[in-house]
Amino acid sequence: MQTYKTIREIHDAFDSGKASPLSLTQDYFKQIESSQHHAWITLCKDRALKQAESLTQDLKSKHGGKVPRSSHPLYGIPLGIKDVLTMDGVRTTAASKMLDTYVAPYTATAVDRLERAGGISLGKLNLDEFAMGSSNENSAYGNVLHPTHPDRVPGGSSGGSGTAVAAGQCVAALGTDTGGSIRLPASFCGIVGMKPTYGRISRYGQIAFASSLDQIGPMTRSVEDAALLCQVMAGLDPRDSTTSSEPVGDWVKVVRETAAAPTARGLKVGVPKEYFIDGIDAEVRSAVEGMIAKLKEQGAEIVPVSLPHTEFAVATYYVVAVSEASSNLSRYDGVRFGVRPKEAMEAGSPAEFYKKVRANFGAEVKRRIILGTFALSSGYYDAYYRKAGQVRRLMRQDFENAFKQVDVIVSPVAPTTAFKIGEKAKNPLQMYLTDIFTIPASMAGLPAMSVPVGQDHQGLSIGMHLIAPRFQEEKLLKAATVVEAIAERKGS
Amino acid sequence: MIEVNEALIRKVAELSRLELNDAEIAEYVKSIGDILKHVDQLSQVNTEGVEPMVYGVDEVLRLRPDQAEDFGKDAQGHPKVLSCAPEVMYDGFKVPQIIG
Repeated sequence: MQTYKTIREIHDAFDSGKASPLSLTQDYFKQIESSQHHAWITLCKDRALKQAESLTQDLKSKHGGKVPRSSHPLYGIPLGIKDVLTMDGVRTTAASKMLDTYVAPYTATAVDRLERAGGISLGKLNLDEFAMGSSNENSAYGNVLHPTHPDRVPGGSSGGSGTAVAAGQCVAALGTDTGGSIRLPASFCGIVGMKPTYGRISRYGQIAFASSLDQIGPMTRSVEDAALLCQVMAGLDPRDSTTSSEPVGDWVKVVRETAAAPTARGLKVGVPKEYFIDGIDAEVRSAVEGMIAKLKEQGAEIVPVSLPHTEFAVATYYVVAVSEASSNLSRYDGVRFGVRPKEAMEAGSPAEFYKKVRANFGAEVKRRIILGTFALSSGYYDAYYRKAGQVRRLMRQDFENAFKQVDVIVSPVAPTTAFKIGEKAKNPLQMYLTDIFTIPASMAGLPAMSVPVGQDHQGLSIGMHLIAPRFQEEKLLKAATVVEAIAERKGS
Repeated sequence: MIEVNEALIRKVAELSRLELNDAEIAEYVKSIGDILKHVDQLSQVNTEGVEPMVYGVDEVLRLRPDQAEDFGKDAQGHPKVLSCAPEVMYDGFKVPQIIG
């Protein structure tokens, strides 16, 4: 099967008749059905093929054989949707037994906007249960395997999205990122992952984990496609009161203009000393430092910066995120949706009823509900939840100070490359520390990306992490385009 | 520093409406104990006078008008919003008897 790097190439193939939305969709289903990665939970084959057929016919009959790029920038593009986003009439599980039979009666705004732009949803992608995890080992539907190293994890929680895009099972996928759940699997799987500014993309139809942190974003094979998907999804939505009224730019244009003559001249790149600590894998460090050196050669000004509260990021996150989660997950009461086991109906009291229903949560989800309930409980609230909120404010101020001097901040995405299945599963704290470099940008609500910059000696991908100030996606994408161009030149 | 023991986990599990078996309790005593020990380092940070950051946005949140939206009917003519209900009766959510 022909692989394409960008949606632009696919549209050229549609224009020249080398491929059609239908042939491409069929090809991707073949790839999916012959794969052993467990990247998908539910396929929407009939729905997708019907859409693809009608788009293929319309291409000839309505559009004279030329893709209507401006009105439908995702015309005929097969996509994967993380199974934490709802689609009307399609099962949405959040990889939890709790929602095994849940068929959503409405479509998430982000998915709706992609489909209105011509995108075809092939199905729902596997993840850590309720997006809680860094390795995709917490799914009730089985581990997702790494795209090229089946004994390793793809990263989490958007592990199905990472593997599906990297293994050529869809052109692009949606992920969600609360503390790094887009960027980590993008780094481990060797693709581009983008978490836009908090508030850029509507969370309507996203099953909530931690509402002050959750963001939807694209996982793609190129920076250009990430820009395109973000641009299509971003913008005010009356159904999510936290979406921002900040204008959405022409980010694709920014990427294309930058890619036409990539230069780092004028770019001020911040390198935080707290992100280059002992414990980072030597090959990861060398790949990221190598890219920083290349950026300097290309004219970037490299500026040492300090983010002094970084060491407290994981501690802060594991109070704030779990507190919000314990509140959000209280809705799983077996009354309005989800699975209601037979024994629940025989319970003697409402409290017993809830306990029987909530036995459907997996071990990690229960751990976080307990932690969050504890942090919010009487007598502990000030010492934990309030304190973490204060440190969160200081972390945000760290970034505001650093961004007075620089345009973007760079670091590794994670201290290591993809680790082995089971390696950290027994030690939750070790697993949480995987997210040490991605959590701070989440806490501050900043846009951030993972862009592949190399591989270790085992062929495992290494991602560079780029962070920009709030609502400065343009700066982020410009820098990411330059990094991508340098990395590709090096690889070729 | 908080001591995480079986009694604490049992109490919080009860508040969370979670039923745990002995093996789960033992595992959570250990793992939640480790995590809270890590979290305790927050006490080193001087946060005097710092306003907690609770929300992800700075903009004032807009409210929608409080109007019901019609979700439509399913193929059988029942309200679509009930399609995900565990049990349905007379176009409503069926729940167990609460008052004896």
